Amino acid sequence: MELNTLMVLTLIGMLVAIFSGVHIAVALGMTAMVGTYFIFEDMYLASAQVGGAAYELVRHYVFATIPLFVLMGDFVAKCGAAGDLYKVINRCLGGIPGRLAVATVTGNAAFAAVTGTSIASAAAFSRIAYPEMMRFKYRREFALGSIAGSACLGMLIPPSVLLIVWGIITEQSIGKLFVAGVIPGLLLSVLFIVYTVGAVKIRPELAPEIPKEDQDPVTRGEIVSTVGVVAIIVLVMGGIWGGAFTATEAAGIGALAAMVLAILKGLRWKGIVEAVVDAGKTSAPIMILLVTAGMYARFLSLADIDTIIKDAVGDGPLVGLMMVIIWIVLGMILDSISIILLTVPLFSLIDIGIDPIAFAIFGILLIEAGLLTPPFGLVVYVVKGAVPDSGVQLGEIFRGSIPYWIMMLITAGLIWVYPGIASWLTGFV
Amino acid sequence: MYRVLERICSALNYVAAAWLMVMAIVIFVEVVGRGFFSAFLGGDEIVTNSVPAVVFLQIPLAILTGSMLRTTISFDHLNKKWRHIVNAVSYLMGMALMIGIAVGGWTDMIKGWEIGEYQGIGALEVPVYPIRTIIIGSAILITLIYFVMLLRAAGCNDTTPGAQADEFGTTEEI
Repeated sequence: MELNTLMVLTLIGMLVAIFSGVHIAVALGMTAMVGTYFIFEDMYLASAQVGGAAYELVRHYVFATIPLFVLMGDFVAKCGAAGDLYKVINRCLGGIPGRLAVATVTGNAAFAAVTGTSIASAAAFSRIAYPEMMRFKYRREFALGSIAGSACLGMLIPPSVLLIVWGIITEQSIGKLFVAGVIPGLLLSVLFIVYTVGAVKIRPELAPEIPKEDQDPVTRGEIVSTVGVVAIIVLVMGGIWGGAFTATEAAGIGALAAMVLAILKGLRWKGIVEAVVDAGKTSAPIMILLVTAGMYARFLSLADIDTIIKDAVGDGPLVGLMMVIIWIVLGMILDSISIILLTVPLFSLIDIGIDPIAFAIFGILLIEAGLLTPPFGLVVYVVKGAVPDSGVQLGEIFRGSIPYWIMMLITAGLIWVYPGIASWLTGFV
Repeated sequence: MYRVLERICSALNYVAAAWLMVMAIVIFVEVVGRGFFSAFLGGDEIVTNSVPAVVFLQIPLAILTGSMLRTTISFDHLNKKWRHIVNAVSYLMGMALMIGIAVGGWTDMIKGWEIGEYQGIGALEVPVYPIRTIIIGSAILITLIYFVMLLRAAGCNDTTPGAQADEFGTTEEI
């Protein structure tokens, strides 16, 4: 069979399998095995490809970052540090308009710096911030939007599982990608805060002012959590930035530091075991996806995909626009990691005239924006499942998230025009 | 049968959890050793070789508890019978892939045992044939799990979490 025809047929077969509901990892691995069979017409060689890949593909030091950063996030989440952080930030904000929503955004940004995923933040803040905002009669749509919107910061602010996966696939330094996520993450947080404060200034009914006597005093435990979280952020990011640790070392040390914080906060043996086992349940599906996506990537290189892609699509900004559309559409129906694994190996071959580090942040922002869009915006469903209020409608969360979605696209656009926003800091690593 | 598999997978998951903690401790010792005593202990070899072992110890339970990532965009619109059919096809493909991994990796595993294959030079030499064995063993176990799930889907009795789409009706994600 001609290689071009084989590529097209296997791609169609894989997409049909994925969109029918076959496990994505299985679809990728099977495509690799079947495709390799058609290249060599030898069943043993095809199975040797996947058998060898299963052993070799994740046998790298850098892959340990994923389970370890997930574990770090699980320890911090399990010991109740997110709730404490929220309360302390809330107290510090004083009389700022829409204070509880601003605290949600700020708390999410800080929590994002110790966890690698958006879903953990969305679930945590749905339980912590939503009841508080309802207690003070915040408009429901506005409150839900702030929770779902700011949860997306988790994937941009390092350590982020998406940045790790992107780095692995494109063979870029994960430490540099982490550093590149800092300014865009902060910029997006500032945009979110400016929007929240601005919206409340224009329409005060969105978030009524909170009387001074209704503010709970900050407890010792809450201060311990806040100091602990800040210490972990400084340790992990400072270590990578200062060159003391590699990303993997930062993940290992961060996980142990988070365990110490969890023990200080009262987490005992049972809770610790639970956190480690839960971290496994979260990271295993990601890791197997990486293994089978690697098998698929090997098949693509056997089929000489570089030449096929370059001949077929060429380079230039128009192709860049096509990528944007594909990412936004896929973002509505697939999870972020699968999107990266399906598209980035191909997209990174195309030169669209933007720095590869900035391109990573740009791509992740667009893919993340998909988490807030109907019909399958994932963060929105997580918020719906986690808020302690069965009356909340999906439509309300989607509507409340629209401004956040727009701001994510604006940030992505800014990075496209000024790639330095992402790449500037990496010059100092 | 299903209960037995569940217990085995759960036990493997606990082993993986303990292994992950050991990895974190090895990294810590390595960094402290390097920072304070300028000593290179070769811990990165242990961590590097641990990753595939931990992953393949965790996957069986992830499959059994329906945690594998999938999209349910069209699945949600199918009736019960078709959902079982899609699941059955998914399980069959999973079986085929795992058999491929087991068959393809078998020779290297046997050779590894025969020659006592190891990785690393100098500071620390890590035997890798146990890692190969864990992968092959896990692939065989997963094949069995998918087979049991296939039988359940064929009898329209698939109670795996997520087999009828999760409560949110969308893709699972981290």
